Amino acid sequence: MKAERLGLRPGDAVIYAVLVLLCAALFLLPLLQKGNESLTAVITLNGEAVETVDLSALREEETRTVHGCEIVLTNTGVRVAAADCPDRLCVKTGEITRAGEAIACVPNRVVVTLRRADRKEPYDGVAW
Amino acid sequence: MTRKRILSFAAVALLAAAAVCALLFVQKRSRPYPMTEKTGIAMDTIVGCKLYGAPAGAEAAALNVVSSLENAISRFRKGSDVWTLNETGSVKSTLLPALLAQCRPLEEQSGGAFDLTVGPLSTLWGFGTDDARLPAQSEIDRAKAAVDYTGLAADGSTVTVREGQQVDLGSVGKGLACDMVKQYLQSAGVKGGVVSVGGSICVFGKKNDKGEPWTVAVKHPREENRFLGYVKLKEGFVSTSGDYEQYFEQGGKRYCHLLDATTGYPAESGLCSVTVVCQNGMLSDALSTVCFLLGKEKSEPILQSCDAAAVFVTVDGGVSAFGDLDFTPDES
Amino acid sequence: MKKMNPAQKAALLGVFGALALALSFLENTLLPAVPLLPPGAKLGLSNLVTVVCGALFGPPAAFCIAVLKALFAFVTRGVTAGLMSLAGGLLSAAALSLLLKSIGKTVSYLGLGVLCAAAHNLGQLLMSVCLTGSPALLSYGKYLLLFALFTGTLTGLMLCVLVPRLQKSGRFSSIKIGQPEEQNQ
Repeated sequence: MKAERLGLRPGDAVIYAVLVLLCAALFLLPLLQKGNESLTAVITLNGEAVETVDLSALREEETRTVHGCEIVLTNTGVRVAAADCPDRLCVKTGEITRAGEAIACVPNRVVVTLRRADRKEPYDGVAW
Repeated sequence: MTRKRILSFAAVALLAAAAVCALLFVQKRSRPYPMTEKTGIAMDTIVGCKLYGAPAGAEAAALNVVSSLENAISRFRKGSDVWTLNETGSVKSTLLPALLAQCRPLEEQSGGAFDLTVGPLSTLWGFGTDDARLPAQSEIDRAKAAVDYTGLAADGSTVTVREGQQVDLGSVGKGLACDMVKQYLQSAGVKGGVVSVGGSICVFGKKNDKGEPWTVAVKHPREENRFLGYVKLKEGFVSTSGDYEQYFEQGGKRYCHLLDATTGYPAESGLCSVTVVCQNGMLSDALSTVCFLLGKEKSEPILQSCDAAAVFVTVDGGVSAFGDLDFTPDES
Repeated sequence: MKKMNPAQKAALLGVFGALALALSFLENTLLPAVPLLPPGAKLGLSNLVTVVCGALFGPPAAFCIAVLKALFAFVTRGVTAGLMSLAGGLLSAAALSLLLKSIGKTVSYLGLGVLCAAAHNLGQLLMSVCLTGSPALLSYGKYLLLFALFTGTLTGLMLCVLVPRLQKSGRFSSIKIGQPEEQNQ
């Protein structure tokens, strides 16, 4: 099928070029933007979410105090700096940095979980 | 344009359309069913579930199952089966007899290292409270005297213990909760899900039409920024026991909450983490404790008899697996 | 060879309309929810008929077919489906009316097919964003464009092949490549 026999014109090439380039650009765009995981921290009290913080949007450390737990959020992770619970296991847990991980202050009924902003963790659950 | 050309073009177009349709059909099957999730606290730990294709409210109901179980088996809940048993020496229970029967072989095969009557020792060491400490030898001996699984017996639905004995189901409670939640969710018609009770995981069903295996990440015993690896399974339970969960350090030595009932001291098997995969939740939880207490070599026959598999991590970082399981270490 | 009279034109248009509905029905039964596309968006196979009609009978016919398809969608699948179909169809017909005059000079039916397919899918994308109020749906744009490239090429090639033959038949004697038949109703 030669182009002339089909009646193709230069404008066709232009249309194709524009659309294909646009398509390629749209596909490549997200790949350029993010290098590392963009995490979101969800703080729940008694099972209900009370606050959601996008960690990747933080430029410096931020603290939230929820029901007796002092939660410190940074660009890379979350930890409980201090709590008024008797066992302080939440503080001892240290910092969590990966989606799916969680810290809980059981006596205060506070749980902080991390999840990926685009929700595509390569795993369904974490055994710990 | 000859007739032949048109026909061949039409054939190509039709094939292309068929190919696209086939591709799309395959793609559609891997779209997950609608997902609902909930996290909460029960049994003194984090409980959560991620459900696929579930009726409304299933996730909240699942968490309630765990809370109800806590009311039945927690030794700290006044009026629970275990509390009553510990206080009065006997209790009528629908749950405990079966549990005891399932754990007895493990108690025997571990030579008593795994023992449901370990309560006095648990209380003495104080893990899980702010008073965790290294007790004196005399205190340990005194507590150990009451620890003896043969004193724990079931006759029909009546369970009894000897005077002074205390039952502690801490090493099997989470796995049992997983069993009960799974049972509930399946009867509720949930297509698939992941349940987590204090780190004991249950996966069942499918999250999309294709029904690919689930992936469960295993926490690294020493490093915060990575996982130990990933277990892939279509259905089952994953439980981990580790020396990093509840412990204190004294005199340069780490004392963790996994107590060997025969010595009265935390296990010294050279392991820092064991992950057990098995088709029963309570068993996976119990076995992870048993394996941690006994070490890899002695655990192997027990794992085999329970049709379970495990990943062992020694204190010096060696990782080895036993049994039929799909485990991929995290290389990063 | 006689030119087509208005009755014959109407009849032919009717046949095309039926074809559009049949294709639309097929599209929906085989692939009700296309993965990678926003829910409710269609591949654009039935858009082929809109473009063919537009090329043969002119832009008004294209708009008519688009509206007809939208009505069918509304009646059989509901308001959302109707609106999605309308948006896609109208934008495609609009693209056609803009480009039709340049056929034969700067552009051929291939380019027309592709551009109309892209317009159709864009219309559906924009409508889905409006209906849900969620700009997040715009991320589907890349897949919609990809699909449009394929279906549009099919449409365009089909036209490139069909129109000269139709021209030869003499029934559409006033179609030169680029000039739709005069509507003298």
